[in-house]
Amino acid sequence: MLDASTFKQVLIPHHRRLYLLALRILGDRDEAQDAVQDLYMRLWEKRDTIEINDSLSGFLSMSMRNHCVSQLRSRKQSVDLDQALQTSGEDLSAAIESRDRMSYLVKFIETLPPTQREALMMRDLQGCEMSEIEDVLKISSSNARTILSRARTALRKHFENCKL
Amino acid sequence: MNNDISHIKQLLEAYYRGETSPRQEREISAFFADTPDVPAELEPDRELFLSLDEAAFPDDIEQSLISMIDREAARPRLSPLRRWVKMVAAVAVVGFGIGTVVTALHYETPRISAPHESNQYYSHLTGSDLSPEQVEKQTLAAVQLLARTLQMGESESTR
Amino acid sequence: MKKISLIIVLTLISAFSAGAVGLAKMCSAVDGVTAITITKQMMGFLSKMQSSQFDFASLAGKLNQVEIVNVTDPSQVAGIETCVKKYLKNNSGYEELLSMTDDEERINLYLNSDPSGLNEYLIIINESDELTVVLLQGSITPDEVSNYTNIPLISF
Repeated sequence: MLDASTFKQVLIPHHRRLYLLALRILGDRDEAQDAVQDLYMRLWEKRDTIEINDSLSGFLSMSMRNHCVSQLRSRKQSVDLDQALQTSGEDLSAAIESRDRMSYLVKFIETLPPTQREALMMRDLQGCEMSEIEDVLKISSSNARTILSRARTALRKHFENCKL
Repeated sequence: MNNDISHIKQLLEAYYRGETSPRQEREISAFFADTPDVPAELEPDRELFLSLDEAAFPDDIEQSLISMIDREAARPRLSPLRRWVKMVAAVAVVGFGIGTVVTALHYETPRISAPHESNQYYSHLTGSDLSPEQVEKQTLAAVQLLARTLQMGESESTR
Repeated sequence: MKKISLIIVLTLISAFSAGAVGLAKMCSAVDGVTAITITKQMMGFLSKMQSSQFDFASLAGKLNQVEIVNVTDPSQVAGIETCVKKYLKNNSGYEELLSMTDDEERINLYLNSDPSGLNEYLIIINESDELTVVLLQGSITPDEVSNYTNIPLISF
């Protein structure tokens, strides 16, 4: 039986990554937030069937992706589904062609190593304090600065390459 | 203007070292938002900060998730069996076809074992499409559902 | 067309021991209805093949038949439930053990105990837009069943 506190402990840490994924596919912040809420609600309803193992994060990503795709379908917009569903392994030239600055950012963040990704999202997208980042990621404060530095530097390089 | 630029450049250096405070970061962000024309070398930084603004998370996203869970957990549950019903229903549908979309539960079920030697043998023996894993899961789900239903009946009658 | 075939199958169900075979078969031909039958033979082969962590063999020994019907098409719910209720009427010996109703669902549990010790459990869960019917037949007693309230089950 998964109680509320364990559920939160295990699943809430994924929300940033899942929000970003929804944002990439749906392109809208409000919709992405709704998607995250809907997904967590459903996860809560099915909490007894969720197995906590190595494939949990893959399972969550897949669930979110499917949820967003069906959102898009019911929206009936002429969104290029192929573009929306592009994996993070796309090449730079395709990224450069995309004029959407935000999606350029989001796609890149998804390619960062997990710790850098979380640190960057927490600090630069969510405005968390360094102490919270250190707590959640279980790293020291000097480590946190280094990791953030790496992520930000990589991000800048990405934007440098964007220039034509 | 030049003073501003060199000040921003200093802040940026600290930013990329991971050493800026939230206030300083806001300062950089405000500068780029208010200044459409920046020197060429600062253009990538401007794009970077603008994109971060555009992608910024909603303020309360984490807290509203936590509140939602707490609210749901506190709700009096009239029927503890509901989750189990969903589970049996999920198992029941999962038994048919690989990658069947479970529309009631809104996400794709994982692939159940692809046909292989022992399944074909099993199917041949039993004349059924179900794999051994599916049979096991269905049977156990059904028994557990029965056990829980009986349990509910007992707790009802002892009230 | 559907109604006729249901009635035909229903008339074939008479004796208690043959009844269980009818439940899933009578519902399975339609869209929006999933029906599964698990026979003693299937469970028997399973016990020999698998070495799962769970002691399936001892449970399987006490079961003859398991049938699960899941109706996800709301328009079929009432019809299938009526069909199942008819099945109950046609087979004497069913005792209602449980009836629970709340806003979201209605649950009924029936037990038919044959003098020879054969038990047939029937659970009907009606959630208005969805119906689940589970039938278990076997020598397993309610006491023995209650040992199984927690089985490590599905993993995704």
